[in-house]
Amino acid sequence: MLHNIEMTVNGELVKAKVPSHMRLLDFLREELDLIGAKEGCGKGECGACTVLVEGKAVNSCLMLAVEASGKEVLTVEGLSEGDSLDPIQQSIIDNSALQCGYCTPGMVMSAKGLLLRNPSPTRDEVVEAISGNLCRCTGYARVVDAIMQVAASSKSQDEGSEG
Amino acid sequence: MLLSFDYVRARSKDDAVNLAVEAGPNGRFLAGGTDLFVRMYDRQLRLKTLIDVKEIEGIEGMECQNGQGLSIGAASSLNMLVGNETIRSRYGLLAQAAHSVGSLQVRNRASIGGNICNASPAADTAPALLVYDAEIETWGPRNTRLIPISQFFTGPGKTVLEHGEFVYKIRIPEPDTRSYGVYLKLGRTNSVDLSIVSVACLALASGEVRIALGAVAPTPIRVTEAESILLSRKDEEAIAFAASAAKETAVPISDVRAGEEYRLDMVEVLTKNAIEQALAGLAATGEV
Repeated sequence: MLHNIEMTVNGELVKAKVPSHMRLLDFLREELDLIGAKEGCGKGECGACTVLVEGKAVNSCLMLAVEASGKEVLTVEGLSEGDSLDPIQQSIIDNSALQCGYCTPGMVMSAKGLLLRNPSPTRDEVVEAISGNLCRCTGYARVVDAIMQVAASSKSQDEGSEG
Repeated sequence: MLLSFDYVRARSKDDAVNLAVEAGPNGRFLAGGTDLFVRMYDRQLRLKTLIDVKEIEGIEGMECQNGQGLSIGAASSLNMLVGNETIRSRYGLLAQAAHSVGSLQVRNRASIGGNICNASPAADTAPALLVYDAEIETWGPRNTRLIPISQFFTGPGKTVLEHGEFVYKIRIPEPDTRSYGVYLKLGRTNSVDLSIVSVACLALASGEVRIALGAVAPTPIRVTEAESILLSRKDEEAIAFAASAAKETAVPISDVRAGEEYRLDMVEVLTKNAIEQALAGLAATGEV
């Protein structure tokens, strides 16, 4: 069965015809060539496929493309503006918070989802937000540091602008 | 990759029932999909038709009216429950249980209705719903019914739901008195794991203490033997007796997560801790 779908991906309206069983992950990767989101486990355990749907982090391997119709989707490709990286991406680089990088797009999107709803999280809240993102080489300490640094710098900027 | 199937969207309660009846045994209702898609991905389940219930009016969201208790749309995501102020303040045990499921990403999709319909013995929201005496409002080919949660589960993965019947709402009666609830879950990791043992304990100002267990029987269970011990006494000895009664009631299996004997011992430990924490919490809220 085919469905006409229409969704906003990284700010652009996308229209397509997709079969029922096409996952959002496959749609992003195979149809739109947005290969930032990775397939790790395919079962919602590793978080490598994390994207934001309506601002909320979801596993795109556990959602159908047709279920995302009418919704707003943000992938890691939609974070930077031209050459200017999102503060989370920059902080991951600054803190050397990656090695192989396979889990990184998912980690970054989980962090984005967290900071959108809670701009100044505690360390525990950061850990919770990325607890569905498995990393098998870097470890988590530097990733948490990187996210905390973004939260801290946006906080000091806010305080600066108020003063 | 998922093998092919047809996805249809139910527009109303009647539409959902008709679509399910039409689809026959190879059709299945779809809410969050976080259990269903995993089983389909693993090829444990091959379905022809998925009937998405999420667009049915009233199946998402919560309503709480004084005297009426709480009504939760079955397709409400677990994170909607976790973030809901009413649930956090008045049904805190349910918020804790919902929060303990999977990862943040999973909780953004997984629904409370799906959590109980999949009927895992380890379903985290089930012990919470058991101690709150929740009722399950269903719609099906023979119209609607209200099923006490204590009669809803019939075995691992099995419920009283008939073909074409789906869960529309979960109703939780207004507690008669002040209460304090605790959900303790033992897993191998702090998140993204199923329970080895879980205990829900709700202490009410009336003196009643309600206890339910997860992952230690073919279905989530209430342990009324343990509860009756605590009706008249709540001293250290009574709590120890109640915890031991909970252990007597449990009939766990050994699996990849834990052995039967370990589970039995942990039932006793967790039940004791849960009772103590619930009673202490109730006493503390009474002082305010």
